[in-house]
Amino acid sequence: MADALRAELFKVLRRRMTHICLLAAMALVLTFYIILWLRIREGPQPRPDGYLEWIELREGMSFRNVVPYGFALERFFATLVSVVFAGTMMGNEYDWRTVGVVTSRGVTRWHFMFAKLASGVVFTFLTVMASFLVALAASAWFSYLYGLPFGTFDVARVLDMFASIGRTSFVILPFVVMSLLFATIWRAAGPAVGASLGLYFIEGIFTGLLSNARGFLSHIPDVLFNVNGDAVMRANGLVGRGDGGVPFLISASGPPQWRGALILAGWMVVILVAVFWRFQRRDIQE
Amino acid sequence: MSDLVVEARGLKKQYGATVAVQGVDVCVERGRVFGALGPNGSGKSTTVRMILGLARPDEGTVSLFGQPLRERSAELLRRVGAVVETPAFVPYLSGRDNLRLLEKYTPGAGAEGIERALHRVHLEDAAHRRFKNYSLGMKQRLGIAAAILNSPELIVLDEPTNGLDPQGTREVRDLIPELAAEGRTIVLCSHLLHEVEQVCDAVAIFQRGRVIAQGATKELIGRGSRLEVKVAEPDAAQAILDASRFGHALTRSNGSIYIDGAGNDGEEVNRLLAAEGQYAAILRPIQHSLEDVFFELTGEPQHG
Repeated sequence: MADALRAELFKVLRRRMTHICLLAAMALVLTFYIILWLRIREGPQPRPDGYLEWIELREGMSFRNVVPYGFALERFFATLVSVVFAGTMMGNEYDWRTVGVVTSRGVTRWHFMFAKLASGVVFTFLTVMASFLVALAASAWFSYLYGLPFGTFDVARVLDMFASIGRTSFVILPFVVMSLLFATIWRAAGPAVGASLGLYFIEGIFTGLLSNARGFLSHIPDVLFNVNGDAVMRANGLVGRGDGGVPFLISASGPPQWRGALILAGWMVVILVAVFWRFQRRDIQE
Repeated sequence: MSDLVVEARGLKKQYGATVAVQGVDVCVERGRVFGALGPNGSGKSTTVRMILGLARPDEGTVSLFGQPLRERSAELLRRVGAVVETPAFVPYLSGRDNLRLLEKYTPGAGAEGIERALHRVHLEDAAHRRFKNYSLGMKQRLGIAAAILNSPELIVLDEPTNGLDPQGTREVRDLIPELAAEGRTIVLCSHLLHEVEQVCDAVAIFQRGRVIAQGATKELIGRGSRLEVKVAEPDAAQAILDASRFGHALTRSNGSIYIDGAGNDGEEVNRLLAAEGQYAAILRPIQHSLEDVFFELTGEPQHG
């Protein structure tokens, strides 16, 4: 197992895609903060809710709210890049036929896949952490410029930041393992990334539609990723009214955190069992 | 301990409605250079994939070094080095880094072993270049370097001279007997008949997913060769041979009798004739090439 992990690390560190994905996540978070800054600079929009929304935006990008708002942003961008990273990491092994070279040398398939999974988890964690540092710096700078509240900065807050990194990574991981599953099913990178991201976006749309339905249909989102991800992310804190009016803000209503975590963990176990079973049972090359 | 390094029995592999391999038995003895010969799509690469654990047989069993592959695949495959189809490596890594990567997966060769393998395939000067910038010939060389990296007991080479220039082809042909001389067993898949004839001492001929002939190369060629017999009284000689086991394989031409498939049986024919007072003026085996045997057995011209 240690050999497979060492080999995977050797490969991942020399892979340009790793650095591109990491930098892309950081750049996207920075870009979003700059866009927020430009919107705030314009002042409130001339509409009934415009002033409240403007206040919420200012609140969101303040250093005091960097944990709830920064991580809400990162959840979106880090999911995109982590899915691309995981899907290409596994799918390229099929595209390049290197998976056959490795397994025909006596490397256990289970070890090979575990090393891939470990890489995906570590990369997700690092992406969330690195892009949080960008959010931290950006919100500190804009708070300084506009005199926005900094809030307290003590040990409890630092610990809360680390817990939030863990929570945000956890919410992203089902899509990472799904990307591994699709790469194993289709034995290619492109379809794996496409299908995972497609599902990520479509699930958001379906959740919105089904939540407005009545009866049984309205409960379907309760067992999907989005609603339960929100439930876990809610523990990072809320900004403003909590009605989700501002991009990426999480609403105050929804299932409790423990239930959200349990359902996401359940999904991850199911997907991982499918990943390992499929990889173990299927021909590497046809 | 079994002397068979590879023992595949009753292998069957089907992809949808297409039967790729049907009832294939392949046995490779220790220290042999074994050639798997056949046109593209004849089932030899699928058989190799099953031997390397890359594909699971629908039916049949594979044993390596006398032990079942299915139960101890990781342990057994560590004693094997292989290049399947065109060599596959991580494109953004250099040739040397690709070998370092494989060495990390299955440690043993060390840095020295990597340099030794690169030297053996004459790739030291290009080892720092990225794999994606390699020519096909350089990729083949790197594939062979990877196959021999951990000093395996069994080396499986699938079309190893594809893309090599004449000098490279010759180097690979020279390398195979060298590796065999070190006590390794080699399985060489090829559709190049003369290549197999030159380096392999045992052959299996594949056609439409089946092994249609298998055995020592010399024996197979001998089986396909003819014996020319010239005697003073050809009619009398033919009558003698007609009554023997060679009776079904006789032809006459220009005063000579030809016996198909009897290239190795000169002594027996001579004894039969002499016993009846017929003494051969000429007794000459007309050797066929593996190519002749192949076409005779498959009954079709070879493509690819």
